Amino acid sequence: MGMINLLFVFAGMAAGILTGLMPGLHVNTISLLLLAMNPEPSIDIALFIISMAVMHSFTDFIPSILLGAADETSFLSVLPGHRLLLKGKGLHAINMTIYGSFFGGIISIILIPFFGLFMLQFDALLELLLPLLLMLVLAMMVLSEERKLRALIIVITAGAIGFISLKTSLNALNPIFVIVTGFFGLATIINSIKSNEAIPLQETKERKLGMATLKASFLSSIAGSITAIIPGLGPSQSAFITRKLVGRIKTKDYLALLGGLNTCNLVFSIALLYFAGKTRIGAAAAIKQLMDLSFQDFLLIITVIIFSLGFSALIAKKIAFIACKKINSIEYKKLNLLVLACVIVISFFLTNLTGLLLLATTTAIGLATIKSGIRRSNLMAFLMVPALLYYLGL
Amino acid sequence: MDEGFFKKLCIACSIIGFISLVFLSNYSVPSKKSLNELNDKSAGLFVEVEGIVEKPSESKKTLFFMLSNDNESLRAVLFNPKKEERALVFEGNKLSVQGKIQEFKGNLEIIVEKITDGHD
Repeated sequence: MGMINLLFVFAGMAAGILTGLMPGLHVNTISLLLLAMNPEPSIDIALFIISMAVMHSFTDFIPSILLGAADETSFLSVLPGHRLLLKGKGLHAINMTIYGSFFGGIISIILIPFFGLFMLQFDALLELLLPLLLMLVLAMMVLSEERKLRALIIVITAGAIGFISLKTSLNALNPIFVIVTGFFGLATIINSIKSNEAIPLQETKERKLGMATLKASFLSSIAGSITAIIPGLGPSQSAFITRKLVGRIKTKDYLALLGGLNTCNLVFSIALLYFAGKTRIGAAAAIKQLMDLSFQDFLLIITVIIFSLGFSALIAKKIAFIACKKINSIEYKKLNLLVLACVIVISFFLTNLTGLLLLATTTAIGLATIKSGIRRSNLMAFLMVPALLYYLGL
Repeated sequence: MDEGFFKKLCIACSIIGFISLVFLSNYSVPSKKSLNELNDKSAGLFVEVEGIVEKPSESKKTLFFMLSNDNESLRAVLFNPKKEERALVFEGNKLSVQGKIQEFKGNLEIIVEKITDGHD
């Protein structure tokens, strides 16, 4: 391993810290910027993108849990994470996502050969079953609520927002960031400011890891493989379906499942790129555009993932520890207001006035969901309904 | 499993990854390609290609030749050739060449690392 290659890996991890911690900045943005510079096809650039994506999958839960500022891959952690934060267990919540990412990543790497075989056999069948699965989950979401009519209205409204945003010219604005921020981020922040929420002193005592966490990591690996195989199915939908299929799962283990899903999806998406030439995530698409992967390149990428997993886990834990210690010394209301302003400015720069209008609409729906006593996970319908309609050919 | 053990696992994981990286980088196996398969995306790849030697020439301790098949040809560059390598590079000889593909002035070329007689 030359010094140059290692430098690219470390630079990638540094970029991953940045993309993970800054709301609005994503691995895809940096990858696109890199490709725009027309670099010579080189494994070094691919290693940079991979190590950045691995680090991002660890660090993006820190702002989503502490500040409610999430992206499309971490937004499901906002609600359970915030609940634990209010109990003084924010660090524990972030650590669970880190454990999930680490163990999920390792398990996924071990499962790659089985994934390759499975994918070749059942790819078509899974695509066929997906609409049925999505309909089943949507029905379960509504029927599991006490106030079924309200839940139905929320699901239909969120679905309509998703359909309008993703199936019309609005899609050019890349609206997922704005929708997620409105539904889950700003709604949480505004609710928190309004209720004058105080963040209790965060526990920094380390907790032991149980078998349930490893089980959740294994589940995340299975769910991550399915996410990589089926187009249109995001990690968040996969987590939701897994939760519904597995049944009751503790909040902390659900966070491990969520943490693992992003990393597992990354590992399996790279495997999918090598085995089938298909891409499901931005990082894989960037690598595909950059170069043809040989077997040796694929092995090199897998070893960089292994190398980055350990490093990323340690660094993310350190950042989370520092952030949780500092969060009490900062006035949370002021911090929330600052994040609120930042998110609005970023949304404006990314999506202009139309995006701001969408942000205001989705924030209002998010707040209405909180006030109506319906679980905000029902807002997931914004991704599931367009996916369902796509598979039904509508 | 306690926190200390998790940290040790992370460090072990990174060390295993690092050792594997060093191993893979030093014992790289070229991917076998035909000259027809090479394109713009091949730059940076470590490959093994076969072809017939055409137009060999040498200047300043560097051997240049074209490696060709029926349809395609690729410029090959061998720095500081050894005596036995020089002996293999003559017009019409079939060679198997390992090396890294790179782009030079808009064209692909292979920086030769190993030459073997293609008749073996």
